[in-house]
Amino acid sequence: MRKVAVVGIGHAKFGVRTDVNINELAWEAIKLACEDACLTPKDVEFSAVGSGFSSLGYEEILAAATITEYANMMLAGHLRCESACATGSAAVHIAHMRIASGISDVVMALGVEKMTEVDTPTMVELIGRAGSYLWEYENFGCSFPGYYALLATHHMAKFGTTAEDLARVAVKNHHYGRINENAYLRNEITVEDVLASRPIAWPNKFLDCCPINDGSAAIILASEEKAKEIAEKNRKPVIWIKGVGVAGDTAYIGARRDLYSIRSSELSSQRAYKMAGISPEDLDVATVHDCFTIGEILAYEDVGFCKKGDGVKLINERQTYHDGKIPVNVDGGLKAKGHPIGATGCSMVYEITKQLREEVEEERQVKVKSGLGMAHNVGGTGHSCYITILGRES
Amino acid sequence: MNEEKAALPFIADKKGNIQLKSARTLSLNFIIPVHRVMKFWEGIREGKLLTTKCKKCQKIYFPPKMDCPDCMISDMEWIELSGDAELESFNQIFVKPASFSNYPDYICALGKLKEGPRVLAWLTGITKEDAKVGMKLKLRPKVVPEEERLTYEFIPGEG
Repeated sequence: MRKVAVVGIGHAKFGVRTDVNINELAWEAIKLACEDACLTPKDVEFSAVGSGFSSLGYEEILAAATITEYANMMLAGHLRCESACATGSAAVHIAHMRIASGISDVVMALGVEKMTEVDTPTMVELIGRAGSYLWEYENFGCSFPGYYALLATHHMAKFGTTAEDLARVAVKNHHYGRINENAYLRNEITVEDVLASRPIAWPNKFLDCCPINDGSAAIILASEEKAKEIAEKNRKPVIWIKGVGVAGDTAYIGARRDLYSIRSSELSSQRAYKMAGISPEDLDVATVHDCFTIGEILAYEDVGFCKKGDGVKLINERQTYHDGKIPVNVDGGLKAKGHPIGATGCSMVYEITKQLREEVEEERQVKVKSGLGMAHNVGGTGHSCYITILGRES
Repeated sequence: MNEEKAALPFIADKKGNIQLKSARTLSLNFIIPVHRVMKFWEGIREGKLLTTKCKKCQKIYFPPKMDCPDCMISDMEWIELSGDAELESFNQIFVKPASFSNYPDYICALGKLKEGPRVLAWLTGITKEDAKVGMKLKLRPKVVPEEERLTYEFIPGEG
């Protein structure tokens, strides 16, 4: 298997992007990623387009085709992929395989989503259908925040986790969102603000939930030879993909092993650590899937930053702030950036790459020691999980 | 072009961004095959909770299915469930999906059945303040004639 490097990254501003259509939004990230790698769209040998809501959240049903046409990169070939909220990471993994296998030398993974071209109740309807439709939705209308609320209530009963503990995750992520110019929500909040916000799917309140919005991020991957060529031109450190891990679990939440962990998160992280030959303690930085505040606590526990039930200690002791033991989501996370479904995974890989290159705003730059970072991206409520471990070689 | 000047098919939002309101509406209403597990729905109509069990490995499936991927066979038997369950988790849905907008705020619960499977269904007859993880529940079939709908729900159990 060949080595694979991240050579170019681009990120559009996340938000309610009524100023652009899906192709224009994608182009913002594609252009930045190409410029970052000193490449043009015509140098890209294949495009993996991650987008979960084509023809549901926006008008195009064949988004990979319309986007690559807009960027004049369609002749190389493309596909659209989907793995629920882990769609962007799935695109990165396809691009990774394409290069590792020796088929291509330069591949783009693009994550893009528009979720605000339809009204909010309709989007809540579409996302709520993410489960085993006839047995969870048809009769029960369990909204997506509702599923994570089930995980939160159980965690609270089993481990004594409180609404205040969960609120501290939102406080941290808003703090870093304020500094990140690509984030949607740029305001500081307090624990009291979170507790006082209106219930969405109790115990999930408005400020426990990530916003529905629009965005795109692009990641260009390359073979070792090509990466070294690009590094000569852009004078940026080469960031390598050191390990990838994927796992899945039942669609029906009732059929899960337990309700206090996400098994696909455990399995995929173990697989990625093994491939990279590292342990969780080796990481300098991580982005984890905080679609709801409980999601970040579960991630701490499932990927091995702490024992089961100890996740709240990490946030309460501020160990996941940028100067803590293991900085997590110091870009604002899904909570403050927003979660344009298909874009999120690529946004995570963008952030880890920026951190390892030491290119982010000073107030949130982590100390790069091992040069290792991890993107953890859950699909659905654990239906899938994709882990990408990146490393900077000294 | 600003908000006042925008006329259909154009819409201007608060920021002054112009969007085109499509003249084509997409409406989806799925017709879902249930032929192979129809016994489950017949059971609901008769006041019974049924599910399937693999005759070879004895695994009980919920939702019911007619194929056991572990044994690679379709030799399943229908068993009746007692409905006795324990509450493992619950929520309350305040912001509802479009097609549920006419219901009052409802509680979705996960209950572990005595026979093993964990089931998601509405929990009725109790407020979220009185519901406690670990409490006994009863899962019962329910026919909703006014909505032409068959379902099942948890209610608080004895003890």
